[in-house]
Amino acid sequence: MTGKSNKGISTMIALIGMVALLIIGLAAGFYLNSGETGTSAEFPEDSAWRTASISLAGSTTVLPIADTAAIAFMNMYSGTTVTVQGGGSGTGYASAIDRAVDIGMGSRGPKQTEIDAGTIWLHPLALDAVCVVVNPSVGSNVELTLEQVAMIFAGEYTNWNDVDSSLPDATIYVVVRESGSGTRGTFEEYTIDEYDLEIDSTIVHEQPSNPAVRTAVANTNYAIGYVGFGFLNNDIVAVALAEEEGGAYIPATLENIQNGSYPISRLLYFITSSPIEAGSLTDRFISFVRSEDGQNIVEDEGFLKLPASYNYP
Amino acid sequence: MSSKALKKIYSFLLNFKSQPMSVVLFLCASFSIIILFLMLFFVAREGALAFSRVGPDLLFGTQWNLGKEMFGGLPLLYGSLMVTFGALVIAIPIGVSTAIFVSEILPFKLRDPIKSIIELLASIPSVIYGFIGLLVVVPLIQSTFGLPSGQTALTASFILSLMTIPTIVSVSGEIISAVPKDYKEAALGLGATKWATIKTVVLPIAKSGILAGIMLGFGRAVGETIAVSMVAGNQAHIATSFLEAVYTIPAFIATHMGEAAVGSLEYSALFGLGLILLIITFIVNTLADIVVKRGVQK
Repeated sequence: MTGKSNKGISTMIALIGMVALLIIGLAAGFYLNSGETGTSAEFPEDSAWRTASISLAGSTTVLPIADTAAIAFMNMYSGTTVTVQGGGSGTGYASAIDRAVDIGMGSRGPKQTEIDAGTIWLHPLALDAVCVVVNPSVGSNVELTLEQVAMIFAGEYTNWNDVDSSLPDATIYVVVRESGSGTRGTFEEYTIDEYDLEIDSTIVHEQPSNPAVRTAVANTNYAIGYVGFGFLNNDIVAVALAEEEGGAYIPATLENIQNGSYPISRLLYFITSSPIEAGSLTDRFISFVRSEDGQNIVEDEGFLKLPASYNYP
Repeated sequence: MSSKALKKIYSFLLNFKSQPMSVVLFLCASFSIIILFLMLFFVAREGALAFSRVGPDLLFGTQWNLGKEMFGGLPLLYGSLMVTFGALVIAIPIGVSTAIFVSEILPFKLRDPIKSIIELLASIPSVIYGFIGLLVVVPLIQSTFGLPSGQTALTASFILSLMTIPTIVSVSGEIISAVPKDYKEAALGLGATKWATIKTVVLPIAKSGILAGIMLGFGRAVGETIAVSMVAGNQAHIATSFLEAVYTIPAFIATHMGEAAVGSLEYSALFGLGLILLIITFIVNTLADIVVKRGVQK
């Protein structure tokens, strides 16, 4: 009997102890957290950014650029903290509008619902092209017009042979990004939408990211898909595109995209919910990415520098 | 009636006063129930827009088209049920046989180690299953059946069955071990062989428990997201064979949520799909509960 009650008491003590520990831990966390912001506020106004932190979230296309740029930036200005997360362009716009992050990342322009949801400031940081790619089983030198591409993705063509008699007699396996993806938006704008066609959601195979599309196309015979220029590699064949029947077929090369002759290209954006405050960490980070050094990172990551017309400093 | 209820509440509160520990336990217990209700509430709230604007099309439509505001979930529901069915067809015979073997035939000393090894399978993160599926099973199925792509419903079912087997083994094994020893000894004493004892005594008694294990396995399989998304091929159509690609509700939600504009109709439709999935798993889990209770009463 006494043993039982002893046990009850000791269990209770243990539980109370655990709750107390939890509360102490939380309180300590809050205290330390508030202490940190307290000290940074004591710094003179003009150097406040040196200990500040900013966060970015959004498009997985922009993510590798922002990630590398953040590391370079933090090395340059030790004491600053730049955290970068993915989530997709939708997340980028939503979290910038909600001020959940300081800078959103987008690989497409804003949608009407996003414009309605709050103020948006767009800061272009790089140029990207969406390249149509096929499995090597289709051919090593494939040429298609934008209309043919549109008809393949809309399911009007189901056999490669119907597209062109020189292509193999095999069923086309269509790989796309999920609806809402920035890459898909850009792709459809230049192909599907242009010819008043629609993607038939029952025939396409969706993959959630550029690398996933690349893997699916590389591993599937007679597959076609599209990826950002930075994701091209030797496992897949980039298709040379022509604006229209009889036009020149333009291969997806850096040069052709920079001079604007490659038909499917887009801008990548940083998104903020208000005009950038001069001298703030946000300002310095965006300026850094748009500077010569930042643009070199953009190029290293496989994207294209902003055209000179955007005259970054 | 009401005075009786009041009395009950009063004695409940009195109980609190004399046993402060029960207050803590009560709060902890209510916490998970409150969380469950909140989750249901939020999913339903976010999905409400889609249910009112899209209506039954969310269940019966076949096209998912942002521009035309068509949000048809039928191919996804079909895909989810198809891969789950396939997974159970593979997992039930293997799982139940394993459970019988481990808890009846295996020497007593080996039972616990083998059981924990099987249960270890359940603790492997699902993304690892996805990786293995993508690296091993997908190419294997591609070459075996001569398909353009090895990302099929069969692949997903196979991977899911691996993830479901531990659930079935541990739940039904538990029930099989719980069959009173007296019953078995009585059967053996009457001259029944070991197998006859299992067939005529153990299995009939453990039937409800095995069924519950299968239903829990169903819940695990139908909600699996990442592993399925990696190997199923993600084609939202009504597949006519297991060698075609399929798309499941969880995989679809996970793929689309990142890019859906918050507050848009698509966003709401994704929550609507989530609610459908929740309702299915609730029904199956409740059925499992009822089956277990009935078995215990008998």
